[in-house]
Amino acid sequence: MSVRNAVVLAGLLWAAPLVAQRERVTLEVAVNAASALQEGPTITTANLLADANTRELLRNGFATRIHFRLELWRKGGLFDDRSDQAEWEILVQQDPTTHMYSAVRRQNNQVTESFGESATVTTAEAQFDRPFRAPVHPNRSGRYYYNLTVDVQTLTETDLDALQQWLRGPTAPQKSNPITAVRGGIGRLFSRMLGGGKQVYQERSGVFEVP
Amino acid sequence: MRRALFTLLAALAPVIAGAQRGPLSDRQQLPGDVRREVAEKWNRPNAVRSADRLEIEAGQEVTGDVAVQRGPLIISGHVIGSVLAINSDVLLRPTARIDGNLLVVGGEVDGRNSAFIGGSTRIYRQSLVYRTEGDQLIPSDSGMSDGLSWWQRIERRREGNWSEPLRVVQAGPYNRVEGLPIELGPAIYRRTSWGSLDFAPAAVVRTGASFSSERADVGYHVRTEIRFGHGAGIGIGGRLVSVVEPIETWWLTDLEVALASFVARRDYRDYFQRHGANLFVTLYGAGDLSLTGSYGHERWSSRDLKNPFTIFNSDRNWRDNPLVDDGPFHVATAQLQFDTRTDPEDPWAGWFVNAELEYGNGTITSAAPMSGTTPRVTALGPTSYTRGLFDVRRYNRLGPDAQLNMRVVLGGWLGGDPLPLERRLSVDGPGALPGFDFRSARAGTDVGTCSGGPPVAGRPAECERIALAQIEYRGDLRLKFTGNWEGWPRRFHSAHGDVVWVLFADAGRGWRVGPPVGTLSYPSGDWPPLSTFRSDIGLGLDFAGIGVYAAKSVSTPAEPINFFVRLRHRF
Repeated sequence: MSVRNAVVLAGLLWAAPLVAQRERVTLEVAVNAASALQEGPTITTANLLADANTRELLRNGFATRIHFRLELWRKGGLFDDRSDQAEWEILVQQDPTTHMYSAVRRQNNQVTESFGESATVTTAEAQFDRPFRAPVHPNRSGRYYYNLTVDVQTLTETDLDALQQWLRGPTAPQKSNPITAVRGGIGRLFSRMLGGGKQVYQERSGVFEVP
Repeated sequence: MRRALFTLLAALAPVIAGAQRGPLSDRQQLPGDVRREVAEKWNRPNAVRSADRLEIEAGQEVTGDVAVQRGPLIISGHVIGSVLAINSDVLLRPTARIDGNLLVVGGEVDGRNSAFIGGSTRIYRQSLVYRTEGDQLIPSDSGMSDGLSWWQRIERRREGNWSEPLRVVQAGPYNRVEGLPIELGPAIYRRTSWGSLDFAPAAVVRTGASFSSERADVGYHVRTEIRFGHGAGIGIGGRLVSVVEPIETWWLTDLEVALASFVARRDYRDYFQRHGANLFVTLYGAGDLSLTGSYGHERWSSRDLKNPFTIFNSDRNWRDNPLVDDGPFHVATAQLQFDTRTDPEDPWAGWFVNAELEYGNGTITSAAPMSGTTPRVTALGPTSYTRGLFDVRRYNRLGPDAQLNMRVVLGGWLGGDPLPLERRLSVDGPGALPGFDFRSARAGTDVGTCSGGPPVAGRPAECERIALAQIEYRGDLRLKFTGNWEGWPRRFHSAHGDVVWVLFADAGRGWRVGPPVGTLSYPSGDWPPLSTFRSDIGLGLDFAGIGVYAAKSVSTPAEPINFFVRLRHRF
């Protein structure tokens, strides 16, 4: 690929995300070093459902899956080793008859927490944004850190759904700048081409020592 | 203060709410299996059962299960058993210890992050509607559906039987001999008690070749597989194919090849036609290991170059698609994969090993031209060969922000007659040795493609053996600049940060097998001198999964610096 084409491609990719800014997604992995041998870190999140596209799809009846993967890494002499990991997920869906949002937390294919119903996406998210104790921790001495990966995916979003969404525009009833809409469409198109439809975030804890 | 308020509210709750809460119509129902489980747990013998406020004080120890209605339940002591709370809030003090499980319906739990719970914790905000007969609790089913909860329906939809009357999927990357290949056809999946069955017959339509008025070029791909076992087991299947197959796929992903072709009119692969049938057996679900074997009878032939649309450079000619050795072949293959990577798309640590072995036996009916006449040029007539490809990668995390990755690729002829041209290999271009431009003209012997004289059209891969070693250091810059941008294609940005700097080096070459001829050919037991290997070094920045790199040849200083873009990790 020539330099010119690479620059043009990079420019296209660069322009796509400049469409809009939203409230920043935040992840926090808090470790209590004193009790790290007995208990896992506390995971706190915010704004995982703030993305306008995700909200639009939720409002249209598509369920959203938020998958958490927490890895525990042990620092070695030269290379670090992954010593353990835990995975869980949050499922969110709107009931089309009551327009209420429901959310559940699942672990090992079992519901461990059902958050009931909420009137808005924001209040539904507030339910599971609260600190959650992750079920993974060191079991021997050493220097460790946690690596948290969270991906947010609309479950039933097929290519056809995405195409219809793209053709319909970001939020049809509202007035929007046509250039913004086109750039938003290009952004989503590239996102789809590159395997998007899934937002991925990550956070790490600091290194802590278990005596 | 918050906890005190919570306790006060919890204490008042039964007074305000009575035995049961609000009207059913405005609440989500508890799933039927949970209702039954709660009733069964309440009705069986419990060490402590309370229909009112219950407090287990610090230092107090309860041996057996604890069950509470309405509550609230306040635990500061030790429960050597499980805890059930029905329409009750639960307050766990930091000294609380529950050895078993905690199940709460119609209530909240406060303090679970500081207390110890040995078993599972399950919390349902939905209340249980029930009546009591004596000391027995009977859940009310009036107005309740006993069907699946919404999340169970989602799971069932993802795991159960499905079929599509017309499935439209991309059959391969955009390329210069087909345009965009698209599979059209029905698909059926059936899950049974012993395993599963899937069947997917499809026509392959090519945007660059299927709509010609002279000759409609439509292929097909019919695939069926029976799997014995759920999660792990054996799969047996078969394929009928008339498809276009890339000759080498190991250096770049389909997505990168497609974008380079569609955007820049540069196709990094060569293609041939496969027409025939094969059977395969695969072991799946065995942890990090997978093994597949196949046997088939196919006719291989050359594909003509088309002129599909591209965004840029439409005034330039495509690189020719090289001719291949045409003929019918019986082919047996075995493939072993061992994958312990932490994340296949974005690994931090682990091994990836791909080993392929192929035996082919057939007749070459039309031999493709090759550069030079000796050694090891394929000829018309019967032929049989054995070929292998070994790709070994090791990913090492050096620290929270740094990684050192290594890869070795060895491949090519292992025995028999010379390899047909479509089974040969090369070490060339951005996926292998990016310091050397892909398929460019060079003086002298080209150890990237093993061209042995004036090159033939398309500059095909002519090496019978290749060796390549790659190493790279990746360091996160810990900059977060895409976190609040909508639409950013973040799929590949998972375990790594938004911006990663990459330092890399590569060395490799290809050669033919036979009598020694300069630096082009070596006897089967010999290894080319390291001084004949190509090598390069480079530097790049990976922006949330999209890497922009510069590479410079070390072994041939006259080669200019190459700039390139990757949409995945280099390996």
